[in-house]
Amino acid sequence: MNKNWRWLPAGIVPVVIVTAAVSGSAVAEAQPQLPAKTAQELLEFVATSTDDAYSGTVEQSSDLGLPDLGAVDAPGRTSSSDPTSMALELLTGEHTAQVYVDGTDRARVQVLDQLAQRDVVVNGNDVWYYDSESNEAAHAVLPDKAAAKAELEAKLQEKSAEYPELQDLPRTPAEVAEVVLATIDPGTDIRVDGTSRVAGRSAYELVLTPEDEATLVGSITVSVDSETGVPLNVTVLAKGQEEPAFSAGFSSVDFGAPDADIFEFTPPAGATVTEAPTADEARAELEARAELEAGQAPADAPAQMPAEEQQPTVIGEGWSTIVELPAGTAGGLGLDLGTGDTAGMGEIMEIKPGMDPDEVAGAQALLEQALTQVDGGRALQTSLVSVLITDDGRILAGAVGVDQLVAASQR
Amino acid sequence: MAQVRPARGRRSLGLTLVVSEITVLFRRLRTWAMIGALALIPILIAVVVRVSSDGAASGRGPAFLNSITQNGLFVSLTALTVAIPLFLPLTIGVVAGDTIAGEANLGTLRYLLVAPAGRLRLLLVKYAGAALFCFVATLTVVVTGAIIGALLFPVGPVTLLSGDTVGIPGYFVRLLLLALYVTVSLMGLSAIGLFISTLTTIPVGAMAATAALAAVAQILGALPQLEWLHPWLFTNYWLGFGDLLREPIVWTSFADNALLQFGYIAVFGTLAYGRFSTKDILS
Repeated sequence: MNKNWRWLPAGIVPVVIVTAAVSGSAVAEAQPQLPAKTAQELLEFVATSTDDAYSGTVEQSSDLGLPDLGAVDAPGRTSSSDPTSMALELLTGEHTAQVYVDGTDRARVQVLDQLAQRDVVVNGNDVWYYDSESNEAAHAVLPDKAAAKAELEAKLQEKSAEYPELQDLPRTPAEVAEVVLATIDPGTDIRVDGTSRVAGRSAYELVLTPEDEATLVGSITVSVDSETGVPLNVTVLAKGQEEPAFSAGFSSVDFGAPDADIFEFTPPAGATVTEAPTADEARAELEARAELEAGQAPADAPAQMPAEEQQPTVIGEGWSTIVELPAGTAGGLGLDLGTGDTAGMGEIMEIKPGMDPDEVAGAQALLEQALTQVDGGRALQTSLVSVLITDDGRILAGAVGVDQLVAASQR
Repeated sequence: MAQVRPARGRRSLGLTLVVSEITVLFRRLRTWAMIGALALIPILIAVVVRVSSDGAASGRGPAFLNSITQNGLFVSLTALTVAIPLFLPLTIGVVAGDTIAGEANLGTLRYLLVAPAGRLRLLLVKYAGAALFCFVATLTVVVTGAIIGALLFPVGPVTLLSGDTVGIPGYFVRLLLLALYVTVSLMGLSAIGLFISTLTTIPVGAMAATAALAAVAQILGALPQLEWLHPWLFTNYWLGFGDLLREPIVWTSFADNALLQFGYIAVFGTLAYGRFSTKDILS
């Protein structure tokens, strides 16, 4: 008696599953047919999309060749309260976020961690940040947009007599596109290169390729939705690395206005709420401090640099630009590497002083491990960005190889 | 008419089989011992937190632990987080591993098959029993947690992961969804246990193998080097139940989890059928 046919289902099911898995990814790769657009037209299209409402899931991943710092902590439970570890966290591993956008006024981003979540809610002038793990909320009030705009316009009028070129500020999407193209263009090949499917939607691929040999950036691809002009995906390829060094994009997206409730946020009972100073207060505080330090009132520019000698020097131009921070910054900023954007970092730290020294020490130890000894200092080499800390305390950073940084530091 | 009657008769036979299977399962002392042990998890957590809540050490321990003193309803969530990796798979392993091998070991399997039940139907009935146990076990943890939490701590509207607040009725809807999610999560493991149970006549072996597989899958899931494998592990979404505690609820992990578990049920269900229907029943 032959009963072996009874094993048949057990053989068929895995075949069906594998076929479904393979064909599923094959369908996703089919390229849609779309009317051709030039880079200029596509950028105009993007510039018209700022008022759109949509919601969706964003997947972000980085592969910079750094050790996965998330794995050091318990999975999905990275300490997220201080800006340094947040920045470090974004440079490694993968994240999923729910994004809700309604025009330029209202947005909510929910970073989904395992059994935890971080929310940023923008509703008009109110900005809320909430971290479920520490049960901490922060609130900031943005300057009134209409007033700020009027102020800016008035200033522009005032200054345009001095600087006539200010009158040519871009106002329409087409002008914005022109300006963007003109700014990017030197040393960059920018073109619309085919189409793709992102989150089930057809998209144009805008590819920026540096012509500069020295930079580590291979190319940047922006996928632009063919119907709305909303950028759906950004991928950065590094030279000599097959997997994208950085990618962020929608895995699903819905172009309907999200529920108004989503943008309403009230901090839960029992949460620690921090109130951030308003822009005016922050400026006043900065000015007072600068007065104390320099003994004179500074110009109206709201400089975030604590002191004048810490102004960074810029070496080179275009894609292989190197930013050099003068001696003394390495000690003070310590961990302010990776991004090369000290001004932005300073701003964040201004809002959140009193970082946990233990956490900082932990992050510092991690950084020490990632640094390698090179000629005249220590360097952090990632696939996109290199950072050099010279023995005399200068920090050099740029999207170039470490050898370029070393050469620049020895000039 | 003549054709309808036997069909109806067969269906009612299937139903009686399910009912008798479930009564046998829940008449066992062992089943109640396991349910009792599961109920002890939230009780233990709540009592320990209650006794030692003098400015609680924050930032350590399982998720939601720090919220318990403010709201007793969080006991359910902490207990579930603790039970999912070890205790629930262990008890499921015992029940699922026992399904066929237990009957074979007692020598009752051939009597079950003497009745015109058919081997496929017996497998389905056994699997249904195991699935029901998954749900009862999960519900035990959740409900005991809510009760003991309400007894020992203040209770109020619950803060979700997104910082939004839901009232107690809304929270109970979510707890029910959670129990459903965890039950679905354990269905794949139950199917594996059922298959292993058809391979042997020694129930302890099948139980141990099933529980061990759950541990192995979780270890593999913790290794970043095996990232390509993770979406295929039946344990991959086990702790994804947090997505039901967000506002708005993120359904993707529920759907992905259901699909994955369905795949495991299909693969190991057909394997169990292949093995059980071709096996010579000697005991």
